[in-house]
Amino acid sequence: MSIDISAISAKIEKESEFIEKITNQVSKVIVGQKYMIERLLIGLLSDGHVLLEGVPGLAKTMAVKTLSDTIKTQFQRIQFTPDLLPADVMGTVIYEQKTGTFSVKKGPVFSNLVLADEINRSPAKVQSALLEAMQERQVTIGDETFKLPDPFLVLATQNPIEQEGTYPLPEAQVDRFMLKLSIGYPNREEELEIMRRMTALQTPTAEAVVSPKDIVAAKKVVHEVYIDPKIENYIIDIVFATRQPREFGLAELEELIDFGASPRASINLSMAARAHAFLRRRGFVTPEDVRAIGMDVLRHRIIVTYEAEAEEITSEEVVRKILNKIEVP
Amino acid sequence: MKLITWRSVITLFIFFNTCTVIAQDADSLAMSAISLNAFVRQSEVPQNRTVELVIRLHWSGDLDRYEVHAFDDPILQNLQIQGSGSTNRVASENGVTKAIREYTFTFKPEAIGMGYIESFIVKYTDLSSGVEHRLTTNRIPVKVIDPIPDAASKAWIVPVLIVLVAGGAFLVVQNVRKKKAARQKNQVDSADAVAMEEEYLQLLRESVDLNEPTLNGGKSFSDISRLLRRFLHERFDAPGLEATTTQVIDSLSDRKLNDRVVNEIKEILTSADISKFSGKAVDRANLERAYTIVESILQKSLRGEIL
Repeated sequence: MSIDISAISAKIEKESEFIEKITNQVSKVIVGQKYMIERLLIGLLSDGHVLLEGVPGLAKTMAVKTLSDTIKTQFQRIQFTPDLLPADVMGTVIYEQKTGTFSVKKGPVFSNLVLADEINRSPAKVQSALLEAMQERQVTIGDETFKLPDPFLVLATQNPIEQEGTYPLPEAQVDRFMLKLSIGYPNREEELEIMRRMTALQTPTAEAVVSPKDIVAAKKVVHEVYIDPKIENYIIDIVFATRQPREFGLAELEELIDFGASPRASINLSMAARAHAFLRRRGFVTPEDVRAIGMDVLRHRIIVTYEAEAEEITSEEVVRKILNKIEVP
Repeated sequence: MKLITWRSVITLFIFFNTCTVIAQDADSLAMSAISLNAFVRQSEVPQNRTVELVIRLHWSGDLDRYEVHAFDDPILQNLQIQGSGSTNRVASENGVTKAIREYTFTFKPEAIGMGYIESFIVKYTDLSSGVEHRLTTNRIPVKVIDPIPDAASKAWIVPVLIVLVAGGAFLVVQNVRKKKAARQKNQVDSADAVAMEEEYLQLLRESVDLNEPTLNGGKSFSDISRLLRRFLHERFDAPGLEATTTQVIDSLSDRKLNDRVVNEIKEILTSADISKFSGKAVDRANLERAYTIVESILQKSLRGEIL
């Protein structure tokens, strides 16, 4: 069977026009951080929530806010604090004294883009409520269940350097995030430009250039991006190598991995690779796409053993070894 | 001339570096026949060395003209006696016979500071007259200074030098052996390289038969690209089958390959990616071109024209 790649490519060409517009607007505000912006777009296009981890001051929140500014859509920022309650996020039922009835007051989660800022500052019950909504894409308030809007994307940030007064996300719930990004410092030139731009009299702002309709249409095309069975098997090999490393010639990793990646990893790797190909205006997925996105999909899904921690071997090192070992098709 | 110079040196040495005492009693002075010199060979001595005291009696005439009485060990301060000895000599100077009797004492310093050899009396009898006479030395000071490294403490130098020399010789031998082995390996490698390229050419012919009417284009393209990747890995140590096309291409730029060849490799691998992963039917002309280019790369490498 021959796939009509030309038709897919033509659709991609048409539906990906907004990518450049978004990128241009974002780059008016954010200097550098191309990696982060591209991953946020991948999350947006493949319905995958994104967890951004990095030390304070790396424009994580600003990048998310700027991205939301470029889309004519609802955006809510929730600052997670220790006293936040699930109802503050999800919504609650309020008793109307005048009418003597109960009415539903929807929470900030009912939005296209939700920024869960410093998600690890709230207790587990709030995190669980949000993470469940992320997975189910619906929220039950009282007796009623409400569907969340489409697109619905949660972008959460957390700071890895503080331990006191934080509630680390449980591993099982971190799995709900399609991508976990590790944000690094800008380089010298970028930092110089940030300093100049942010100390100017008028700080730049991004304009809304894309409608939610454009995003939804693009998401459909992302699903059409062709993924060959060879690539699918390559993805499965990578995910299985996290569970049975010995079978892939990685016996040395066996004692370092406590739990390998879940099937959600395979699904997300496949979707994220498609979105990556879409961003490159390509109608099919290549191993390059899988390799490019593999670390962000897998780094939070592999739980390393105590021995690995003692030897200061991170899940990132394990993923790197796997990606460097599995043969590309 | 030589003799004079030697004597002058000895005289100066004694003059400057020793404490010389010439003491004679009135009787002997009157006769001017016997004289006594008492001196130390060094006025300064390191604490871990010894100093020698020389008592020299000399007179005109034969040795048996005087009988020198045995005398006690000198009284010492901050010094210890280690040994003693005596010698007799007879010499002729301008036709006159001279007798010399020398007593030597070896002392070891006790502590840093000043040491002294107290004055002592030498008694002798003039055998011609049977009269006993006495000679007295002065008090002789010796300065005891900081010890100097003992020659024994440098005993390790010899074995270390031996080890170093042996080590150096071993390294030289090893180096020569390595160079020889490398030369032999290079010869073998060049022979292997020839064999490798021919082997890959053979594999190419076996895996893809362009005359086959029912040729599976997708599989053939995949075989050609894998063969090329394996060859690049083996021949140029490029990333192997676990690397993506971009990684392989990027690595080639560091290996100083001919630009034209790099572009050809890039074309093949990119076309192979498209044919392998796009689900598109493979164009026969593209496959034939890929085959020809890979064959040509292998042949160029065989002729050494790839770098």
